[in-house]
Amino acid sequence: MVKTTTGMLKIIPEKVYENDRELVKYGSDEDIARAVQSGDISAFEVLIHRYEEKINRYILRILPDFEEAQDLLQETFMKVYVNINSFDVKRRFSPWIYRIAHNEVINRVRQKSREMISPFDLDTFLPMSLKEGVMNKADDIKLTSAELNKCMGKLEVKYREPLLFFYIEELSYNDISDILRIPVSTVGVRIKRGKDMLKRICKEMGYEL
Amino acid sequence: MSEQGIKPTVKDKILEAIKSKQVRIKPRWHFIVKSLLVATGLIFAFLASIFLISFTLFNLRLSGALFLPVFGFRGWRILLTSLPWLIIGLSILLLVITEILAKNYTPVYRKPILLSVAAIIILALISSFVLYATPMHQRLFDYSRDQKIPITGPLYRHYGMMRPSEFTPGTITLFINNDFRILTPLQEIFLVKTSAETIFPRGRELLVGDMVMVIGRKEDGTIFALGIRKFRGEEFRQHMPGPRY
Repeated sequence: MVKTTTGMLKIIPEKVYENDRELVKYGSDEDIARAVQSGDISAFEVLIHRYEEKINRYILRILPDFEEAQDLLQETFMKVYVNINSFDVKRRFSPWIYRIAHNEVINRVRQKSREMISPFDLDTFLPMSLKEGVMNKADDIKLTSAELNKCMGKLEVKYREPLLFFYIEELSYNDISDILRIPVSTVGVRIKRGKDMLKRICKEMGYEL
Repeated sequence: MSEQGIKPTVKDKILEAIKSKQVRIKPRWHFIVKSLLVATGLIFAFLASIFLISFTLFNLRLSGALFLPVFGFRGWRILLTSLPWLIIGLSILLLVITEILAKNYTPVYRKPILLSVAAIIILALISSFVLYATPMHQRLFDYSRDQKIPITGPLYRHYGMMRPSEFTPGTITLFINNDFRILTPLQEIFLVKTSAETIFPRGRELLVGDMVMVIGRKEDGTIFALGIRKFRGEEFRQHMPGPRY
């Protein structure tokens, strides 16, 4: 329980409180990344702690194989550590780490399923006019995680990823653009199309989105 | 599919690998060098494409091919077949490389490819025209004729001294009945044979000293003229800056 600026007491969920305490203790992700760049291994442990669940969740939603996800998770963090000096601490850390995870996942998907994930897509060529405000995060997906995963699994990866980043990881269009290296307008288009497709898939599977 | 938590062993494996120095942080200079290489490659590819595009324009001006469209459809056809396609292909390849390298930068990849491609092409064309307007190519061509430049020399010598097979610019030096002689920019003399099929410039009488463009096949010092166009002296000199008359 904490005192708010208006003097009222507010109950904060334990996990949020824990995150806040951690933030006060270790600072922002970028601060920690700077510490890792200086050779502080314990700081890297904090980064793992902060991101292991998120990255693992992301990987599992693309590659629903637990063992494989663990393998990719390890690979991702290894790459994060090895390449930490390429991170610009003036920028946000989360798109950077998701970018590494995305590369690992996409490489594995290509190897495994030989699914055509072309870096060039028509929707990345043409300017689109969709604005970020059009998509409303409050207009949320009301399925349980398990139900959503079943539907998501049927969605093309190129639509699944932006949806995951936007709705599940709550990243901005710019962040998603940085992760996937696609135009910001394309992010908006893929989210919208992906959501429409997801609705259709869920309906076919008997769920209401 | 359920969202299972990470096995503690993964974190331990990572930390173990770090502590045992199985994995090491790549030094900062590694990434600085990489960034510099990308930036250098980008600048080099862009500048090289500008050089080649402006060289193509210079080459067309030097050969007189820029005047071909005045012959209408036939002129356009000859122009298309006489373009230096290898140089044009190389310029396009360099622009593609420029676009790929530029995609490493946030302001570029956040925009649709069409916009970045259009921006690069427009910038390259404007820069090429600016470079074309300078005397750089003319000087390099002059030096290359004297074999003073080892790298660009072969390029200028090969394309600058090329004799187009289907069109010939030149100055009329002598009339022989209905035919006449011309002196080309490369100091060659040709006899231009006219026939009933030859299309002459309308309402313009040809005189000695006139500068003309002749289309038609060449054979042993003779051009069998299909079309002749006359140019004003100043216009011609302005467009034919290379070889002296």
